Amino acid sequence: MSDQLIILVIVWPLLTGVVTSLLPANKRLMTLWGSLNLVALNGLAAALLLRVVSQGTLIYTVSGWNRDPADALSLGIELKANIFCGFLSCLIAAVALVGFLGGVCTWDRQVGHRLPHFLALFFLLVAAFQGLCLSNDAFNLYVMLEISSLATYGLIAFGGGRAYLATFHYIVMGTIGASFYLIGVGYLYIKTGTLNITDLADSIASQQLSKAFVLALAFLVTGLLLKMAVFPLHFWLPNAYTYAPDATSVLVAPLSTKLAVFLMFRILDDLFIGVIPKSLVSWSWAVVFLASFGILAGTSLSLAQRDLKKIFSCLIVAEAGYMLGGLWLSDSRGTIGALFHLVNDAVATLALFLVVIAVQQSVGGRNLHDVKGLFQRSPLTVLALILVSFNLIGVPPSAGFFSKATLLTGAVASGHYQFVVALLLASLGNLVIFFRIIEVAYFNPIVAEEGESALSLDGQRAGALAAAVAASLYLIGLSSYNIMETFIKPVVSL
Amino acid sequence: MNDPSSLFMILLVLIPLAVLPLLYLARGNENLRENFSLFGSFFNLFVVISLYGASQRGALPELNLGYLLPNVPLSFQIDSLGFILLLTAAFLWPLATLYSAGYLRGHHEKNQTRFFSMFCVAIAATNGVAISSNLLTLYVFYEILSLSTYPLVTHHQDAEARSAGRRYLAFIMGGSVGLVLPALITVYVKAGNLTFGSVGLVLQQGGWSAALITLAFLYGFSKAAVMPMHAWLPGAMVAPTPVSSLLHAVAVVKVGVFSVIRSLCDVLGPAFLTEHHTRYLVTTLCTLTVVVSAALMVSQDNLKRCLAFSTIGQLSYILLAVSFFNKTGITGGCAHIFMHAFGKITLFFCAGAIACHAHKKYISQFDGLGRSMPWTFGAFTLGCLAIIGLPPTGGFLSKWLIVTAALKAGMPLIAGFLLVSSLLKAWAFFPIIFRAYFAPTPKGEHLPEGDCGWLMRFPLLLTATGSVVLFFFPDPILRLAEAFAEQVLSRGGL
Repeated sequence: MSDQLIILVIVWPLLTGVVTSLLPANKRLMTLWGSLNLVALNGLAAALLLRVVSQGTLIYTVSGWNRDPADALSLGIELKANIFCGFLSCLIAAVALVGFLGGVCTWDRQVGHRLPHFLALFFLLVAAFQGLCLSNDAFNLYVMLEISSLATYGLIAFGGGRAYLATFHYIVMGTIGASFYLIGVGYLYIKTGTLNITDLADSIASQQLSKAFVLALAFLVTGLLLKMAVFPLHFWLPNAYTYAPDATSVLVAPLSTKLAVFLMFRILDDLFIGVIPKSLVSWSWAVVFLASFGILAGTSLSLAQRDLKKIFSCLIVAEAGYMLGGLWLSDSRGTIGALFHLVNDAVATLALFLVVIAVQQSVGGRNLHDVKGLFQRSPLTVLALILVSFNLIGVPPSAGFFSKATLLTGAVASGHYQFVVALLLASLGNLVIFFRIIEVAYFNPIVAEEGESALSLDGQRAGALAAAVAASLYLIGLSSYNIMETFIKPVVSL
Repeated sequence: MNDPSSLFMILLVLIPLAVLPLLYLARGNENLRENFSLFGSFFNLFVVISLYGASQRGALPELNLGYLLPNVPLSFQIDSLGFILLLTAAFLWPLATLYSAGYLRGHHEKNQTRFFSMFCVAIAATNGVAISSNLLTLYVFYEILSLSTYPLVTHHQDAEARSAGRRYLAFIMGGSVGLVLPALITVYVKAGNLTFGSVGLVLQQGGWSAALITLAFLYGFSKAAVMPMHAWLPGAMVAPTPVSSLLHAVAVVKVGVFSVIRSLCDVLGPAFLTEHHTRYLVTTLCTLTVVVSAALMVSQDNLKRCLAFSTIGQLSYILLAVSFFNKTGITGGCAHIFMHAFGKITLFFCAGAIACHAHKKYISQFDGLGRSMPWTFGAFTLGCLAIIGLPPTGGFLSKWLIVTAALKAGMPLIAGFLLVSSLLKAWAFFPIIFRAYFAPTPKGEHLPEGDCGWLMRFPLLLTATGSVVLFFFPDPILRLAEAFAEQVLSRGGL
């Protein structure tokens, strides 16, 4: 039975989505139904992690096809959960649950009567994320990538108004990215006759690295750079995330680009094992340079914004650079740092977008000057904001400090000093970005009379949720060594 | 496993933090709230003294609370230098609490609970810095201290406080993130660990990189205010005076100096600094700071700014003395941490008392004030003697050692500079005292009747007496400083 856990984690949200679209648009019912299912999903993911921890990597052939590498026609989907996949699956489930609960208070205003359709897409997206995390098949990864993108397009377009144009941009860019990825997979299939990642890796390792493989790698990487929104391929992201409904961005922003990062890790570390440091060293320099530039560009973009949601969206572009650079340092510490940063950044981004919801609920706007007096209206929201900002600046003992320290260690050890400089400048940039917000909240108290009536229960609740998520960053930070040793180091092969 | 007795150490961080919830609960009752603060501070003093007693009977065990990075645990151990900082903070915390109570009530300051809470966090962080046994642990507490003092510096929440706060963050966080963090990571990558006393950094090609690392530590711990990283300090004078006394005598600047000493003596080590000749760099830069700050002091009219420049000079005295790397120098420098603290806190207490009671901030307004506030100005005179380095105060002893060390190190020129700066200090301070006692009271000026209230008078008399007592009984402090000097020099290299 416990072998089935891996498929259940994907199928459960998928079926939930299908049933959800048939239910009536009742907020109470939806909240209950959604949270029950997500709690169940969390239970399944936790059980999967336990199973992987106690009995090692779990491999599952969907519908029990007969896997025979020697037979060219033996094609089928394989799922695989190693210890980091199990951990990531739990993270996805947890973020989905918290994001779902955080988004409830925005449904009335931003989603309205189409709630069942919205939530159907929401659960579909969760299923696709789980699929991206657990598939061991290059083509199935493409399918999951497309499902997640399609669900995201729909979820963003629910924002209406400017969200339509943003969605259109995203569709164009997302499709190009997915096509690049698919072409890469096509090359690999022509050269090797298989789509299974384990078999592909064996066959790449046993052959001469021909130009076709290099081209395949180039297509795969470019496609994923687009999905990761690395500068200068980022410009679809800030608008799409800003104008999406809050209930969408709170799920999409923490996970979407992170799973593209995870795919990048699979390609570098599971598919083309050791190819970069051995044969393509110059690529490593080029990509790390791109990442460093992207970090600085994302931070500067963020500095130029005044809309809180856009500030945080631009930060995602910068964060993508952190992880991309870490993966391409060709140093195991860089890879470990990048994967730990993935975990840390998913939680931090979740907290940031919960803060956006809380700010909007407590002061009725999300522009920089709306934050005025937030200290009095919703102290928990401010607490959350302060805790997350310390994480992004990299103040110990937050998780952000340790991921940054590990990335820096990798960068110094491999001699990529431009990456070191970019990381440090980004930390200082984040200091400015966040203290600009905190200053407004701290130094501009509201006049007593306008303050009394504005306390909303939803705002307080969202603030408390954000503060709890932000506080968990410090728990992750204090156990960072154990997380890295237990869940990340065993899967990094460099 | 940890020795159970080592868990006692962690109380030093936990006691000040445990006071926080009590302060919050007692926020409505001023007297009760201050009693909680006082209780915490006495308990802290008790723990420090009993630990000191235990250390005289044998070295204290190390406390290891799990790993932060590979080979770098979150670990604590108290050596003699740590005790100097612990004792400084432990003796001055209760006095500063009493004084703050008097000052804040006298000034009718708002948000007093926030003030006392942040004060406690700052003390916890200071204790944490003092008991850290590796550079990363120290860095964790250093950053907590930086951020917990921000609300203290900006306590008034007006435009002036905002700009001072910005400058404070820019220098302090800019230094710690922009300079210390890369230096720390570099040392970690090259040497493999960060434990004090056993780092053993060896650089393949010395020269420039050695100089860069030394300067990164010297300037990066910008709380030590070596010019030109001093600019935040006079700006931070907009804070209420008890904060200035905390910043300039107890917590912030002393932690800066302490961290620089740790990184020079226990991380890089005398052998490294001598081999690459970078200790002369430290000597030169600190001498420059000593002379320039003394010259700037003379021209100040605002008493608190004048004291700020004096602090900048005194901090460099300490670093200068340590950079000689002979026994007299390190002893004198470390003892000066304690001696200067008593002198400087007296002066700040007096400045606050004058501002609060007579409403005068500028030296030019002090005519005849000494006759109406005899207690305050008596203490002020003793404080001045301690800072200039004249008997009968503790400051004389440490300064004597420092000048002797300069001569022993074969740098009579530096000794000359030190004497010149002392003369400049006398030139700045004596006119204030003369003016207060002997200048006729200007016509129409109305001087306050009697001296300041007992809540303020008692602490400042006590600290002034303390600096005299230190002249006659300096042994415990000198012995600690000497033990540290021996410990550093016994590691060889000179």
